[in-house]
Amino acid sequence: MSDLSVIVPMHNAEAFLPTCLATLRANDADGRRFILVDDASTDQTPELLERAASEMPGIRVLTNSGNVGAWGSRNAAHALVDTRYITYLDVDDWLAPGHLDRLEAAIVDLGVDVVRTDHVRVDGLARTLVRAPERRRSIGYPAQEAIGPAGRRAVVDYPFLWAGIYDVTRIGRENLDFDATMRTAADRPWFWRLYMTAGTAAVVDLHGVFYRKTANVGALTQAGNESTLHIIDAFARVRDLVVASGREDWTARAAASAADMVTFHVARRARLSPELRRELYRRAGDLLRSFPDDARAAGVATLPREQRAVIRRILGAS
Amino acid sequence: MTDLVLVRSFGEAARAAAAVDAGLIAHDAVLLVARTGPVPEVATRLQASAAFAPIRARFSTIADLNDILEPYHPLAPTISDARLAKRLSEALGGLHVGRVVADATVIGAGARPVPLPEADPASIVAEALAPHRLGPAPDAIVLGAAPGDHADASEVHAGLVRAALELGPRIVLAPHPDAPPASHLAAERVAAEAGATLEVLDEAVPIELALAAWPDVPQFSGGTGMGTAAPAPTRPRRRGAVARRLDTARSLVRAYTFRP
Repeated sequence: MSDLSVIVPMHNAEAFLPTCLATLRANDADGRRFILVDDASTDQTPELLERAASEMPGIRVLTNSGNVGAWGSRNAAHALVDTRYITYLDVDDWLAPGHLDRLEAAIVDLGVDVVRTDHVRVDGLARTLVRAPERRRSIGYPAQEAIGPAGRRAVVDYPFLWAGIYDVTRIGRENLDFDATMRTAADRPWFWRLYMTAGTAAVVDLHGVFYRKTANVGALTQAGNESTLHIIDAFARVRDLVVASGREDWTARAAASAADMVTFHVARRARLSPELRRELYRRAGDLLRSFPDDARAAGVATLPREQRAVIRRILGAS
Repeated sequence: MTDLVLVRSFGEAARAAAAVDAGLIAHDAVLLVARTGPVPEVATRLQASAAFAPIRARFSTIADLNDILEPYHPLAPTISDARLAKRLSEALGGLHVGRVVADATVIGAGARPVPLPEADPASIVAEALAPHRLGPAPDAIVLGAAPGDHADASEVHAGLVRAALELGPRIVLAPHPDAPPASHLAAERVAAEAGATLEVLDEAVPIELALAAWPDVPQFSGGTGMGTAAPAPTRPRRRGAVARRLDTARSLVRAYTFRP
């Protein structure tokens, strides 16, 4: 008997929904819930959902009266969760048949608050296996170890909601919701809060999520538009969390991640208009200066020399 | 040394089975089945279809190439030939592979397959058809295209059904096994608006069975390279508006047909 809810937000998803529904059918189980959130679609999504709900008893359709975005949609779904475990799926991605059975078995067997998995990135027919940045596999450890020291990529830097399963009773329902005021990257502060506050975590060798890279045209790392800069807001939320925790090591760790993110976007500045470029430098400088000086210095010191030079220039400009 | 026979569709599998009957492929051959659509993880397994029974009976072992290559795609298996050989060997219980028989080169750069023999699959198709009850013949059969992306399949199917409705109100749509699930919804709307009925053939019923059951029914297709699927239309004497519509449908399909 499954004790898992799968949350799938969508907006105008008729092109992807049939494949998504087929993948849910191939992952159905007794007691498993599929909470499909229609975020005020204007295409055939409502009809497709209605038909699917009549065919699969595990489906609950939630319809937003106005468009609230993917984070708000996931939050609305949280209120309907009556199972112990939850996971997420994006409507343009799909799962290997039986993946959810293996995912649920992993968290039940390990008895930890959160289990993360590898995933497969799909670009046309080409596929790349993307490993979660953790060598320890199928073994529980204190969740805070998923943050790790500054200068080393760790599971907290692997912001893929759907590559994981979460124990609602252990994590606490009050810790589930995303900051829906953020347009993108609300999963960044969400994962930081999760790993700062949860008890135990694990990573397993599953890779049954197929993440469609090309369909996601608005993806943060590809778009050369204003939304690129929203990632800075996400790291400002992370900064608030770590500073409030009083943990200097975490603050340095978050400063290092923020600085690394800034250099990533500076290196790809050619995609931005001159106005957006100036905006990036200004807001990135504000973000980095907003970290306590010691923590920022300690964090930036862990970056490679070229990245440190970029950060010095950003901090020098005002 | 055991022959390894690779097939991607019911049509190819039926030909391979007929080749066993004709003595062109050995009885102890291994049949390797591949799903090669854009999202093979959600495609129906050929081996799960009731129509597969006569094919299963003609091979010593049936293996699933997608399972062996998991999580990679058979048309773009980004693993080394050595790892591929190891996985194949494990999946086939250490069998020594002799010839690779295939119409496609989907298993590693090192494999130089010999083509699938041209054996007439009619008896295999008839055997597969026997347990199915397909009902009375429709006015036209639409053979679904295998488009490369999800939005396109619906348009192609709707265009073909619109053209087929010229021949009568009872249309059967046989979706391509690689087409996304429910890509027939737009076509259903087209039929409903015309007051016609569109029957969508169950995934477990291969196109070849429908063609064998209703040999005289005109077919609309886009030439997707499906096994025995005939080029459209089979009744060239229907000219005029129908032919024009067919041309439209064909050009639509040409524009959208998936080419790996």
